[in-house]
Amino acid sequence: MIKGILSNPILVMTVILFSSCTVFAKGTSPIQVILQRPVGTLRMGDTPKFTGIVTNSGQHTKERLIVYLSLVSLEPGNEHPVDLEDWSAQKALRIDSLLPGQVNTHDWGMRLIQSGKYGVALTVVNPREKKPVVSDLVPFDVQRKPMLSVSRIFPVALGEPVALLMLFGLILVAQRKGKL
Amino acid sequence: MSSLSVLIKKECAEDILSSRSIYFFLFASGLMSIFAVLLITNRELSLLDNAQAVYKMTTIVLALASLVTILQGSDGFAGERDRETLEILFLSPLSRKGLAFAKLGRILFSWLVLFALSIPYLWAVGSTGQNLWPSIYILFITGTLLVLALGGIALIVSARTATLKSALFISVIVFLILGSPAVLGASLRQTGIGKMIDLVDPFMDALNTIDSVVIDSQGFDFQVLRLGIMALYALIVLWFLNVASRRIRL
Amino acid sequence: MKVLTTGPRCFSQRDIGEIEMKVIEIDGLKKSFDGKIALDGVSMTVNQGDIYGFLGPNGSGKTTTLRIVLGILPADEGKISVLGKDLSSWGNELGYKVNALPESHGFYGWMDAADYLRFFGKLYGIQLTVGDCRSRLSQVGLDPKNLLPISTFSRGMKQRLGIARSMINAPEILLLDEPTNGLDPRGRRNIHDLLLHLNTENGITMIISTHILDDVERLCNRIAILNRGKIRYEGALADSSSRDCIRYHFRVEDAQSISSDWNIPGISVVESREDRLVCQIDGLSPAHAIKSLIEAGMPIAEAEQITGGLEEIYFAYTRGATDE
Repeated sequence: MIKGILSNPILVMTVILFSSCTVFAKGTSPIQVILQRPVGTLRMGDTPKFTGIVTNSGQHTKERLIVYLSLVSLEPGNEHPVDLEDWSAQKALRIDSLLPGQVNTHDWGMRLIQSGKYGVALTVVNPREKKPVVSDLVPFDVQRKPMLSVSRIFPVALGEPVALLMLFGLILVAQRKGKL
Repeated sequence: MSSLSVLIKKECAEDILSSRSIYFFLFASGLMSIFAVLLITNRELSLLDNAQAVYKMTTIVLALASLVTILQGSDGFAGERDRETLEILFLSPLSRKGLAFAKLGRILFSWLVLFALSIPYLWAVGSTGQNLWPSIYILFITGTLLVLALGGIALIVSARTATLKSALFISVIVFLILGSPAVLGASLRQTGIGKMIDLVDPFMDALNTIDSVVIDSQGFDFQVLRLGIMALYALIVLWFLNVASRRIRL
Repeated sequence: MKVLTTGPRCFSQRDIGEIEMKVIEIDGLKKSFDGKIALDGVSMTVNQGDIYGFLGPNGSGKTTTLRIVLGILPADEGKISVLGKDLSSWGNELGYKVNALPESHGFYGWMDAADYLRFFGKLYGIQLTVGDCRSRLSQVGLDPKNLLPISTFSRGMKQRLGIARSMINAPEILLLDEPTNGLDPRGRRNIHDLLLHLNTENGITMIISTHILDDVERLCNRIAILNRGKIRYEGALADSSSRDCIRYHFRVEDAQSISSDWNIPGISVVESREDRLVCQIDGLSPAHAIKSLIEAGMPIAEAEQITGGLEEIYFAYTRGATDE
């Protein structure tokens, strides 16, 4: 079989080309990026840190890499990008130099301001390469947690100043009546 | 009824019946109401859980208590002097020490009224969460110790200064010095010097104790050191007040 | 002591042989403030029943002396005894025996007069009933049914209330610092009458610190003149008034008809005009002299002092230091 493949020059060229592509594909993304979510249940108001790991598995030093976070809402029927500004998240990071074999680890913090289903990914851009490298999308759920009771706060917030006013008014009236 | 209790009763009655105190208590209630409403309407504040909301409310209560304490403490002797009623009090059988502690009694009464006013707010923001009742107890303890210390300092200043304006000015400066660590950033307070200041400052001791009980759910035995420092402050200040009362400036 | 209840204090008489108890004795009192000498060896004595006039210009040390006697200020040096006991041994108990109306005294404006008295009564351990308060207010000439706060009172009303307050513990000694300051003539007269009444009816010994000589002449039987921290003169008012010869101007019905050879010791006619006589009074109090003249049949319609008396004494003893 091998003799048959080698006797056909077109076939040989195809194999060589395919292998080169494969090798080339591997050679164009020596950067690997992994994003890890924190352990445990995430709730509204929490400030978890997602760990981003950028590895230079190539033979050459990579310089001036730009790493940025992306957040999307994965609510069924309401998928949309989320503005990281609202979530007080660190949006981007620059790695000046990543040596061959070097690993850059960074914690990406954010504040979970709303419950729901979300996904977050980390993207690495090399200015000298066309294709950015993106991590796997990391899905996570933000749970609602018991917050303040509106039905208790409003009556107290409105009622106590009014009650105080009435009480002081009664004291002053009683004081004057007592004198007469 | 002893002269001391007569004077305390008169001071408390004056507090309730005079416009000054009415306005202050209304202001305090209004401020707590505004904060409570913000907790549910403001996006940032609405993310706070019950424990954090209770902590922030207690911070407001302590700040209000400190304010009324330095106001009333400064007025203690300097105000009587300005109103020309001090000499007549000296004529009575009430001792100078009794007079000083009657003034302190008035300050404590105002604190108790403020504390009572705060309980419904604390219940409203914290009843569905953790540590509500421990937070109320610890607020009472830390607030009382803080009021004793600050009130004593303000009375000492009032006893020795010529006018109410001077007494108020000096007392406010003392309060700002004691409260300044609260405005330092968290990172600065984590340094060695920052931690030392946190520990020896009675105001920060009060805040940190409440934080420890309300948010971190740490027990009473964890608070012994800070409460001990606050109690020591209060005792030292009261001792100095006793000494200063013998030399109240006429 | 027999006291005539009408007319100025200088008409008072004492029964001969009555022992005068010293209620306040001050000996060698010294006090300085920040190195400045306020009192420089003050010595004076107040007897029981006296209305003692304590005179002196502003800044002479009168208020300082009173505050030391009251136990409000400590003395630097000197001995003070109150009611026969050393001042230092009285402690807070002194507050039950003496009281004072300071020169500058404020009130709790939110209280009414009865509340004010009740409050001070309680400070002294005295429970005043409504009736007690009313009678005390009436005693000082205030309307007992007035329920308005003290902040609405006039100066005269406040002064009366201050006197009522100073009487709350039925003191044996009452110290009044400028009690008629700022009052109109009628107000001053009312206070005079009140103090005279309290002295005669309640037997209270009073020390009145003032620089108003008219008050002293009307109220006091003994005086001391303080200047620059020292007592310059102390004695009976009658003594001071008769210390120098005094000339009086009398208006009479017919001066010419009056015989000039009367035999009233100490009184001599200096000048005689149509309806006026100028007499020199020597060694007698003016009141005694006038009484003698009336008893002798002189129809005096009006009497006016021309020279001598307390004013002369006061000016003589309160001159500047260069004159001493």
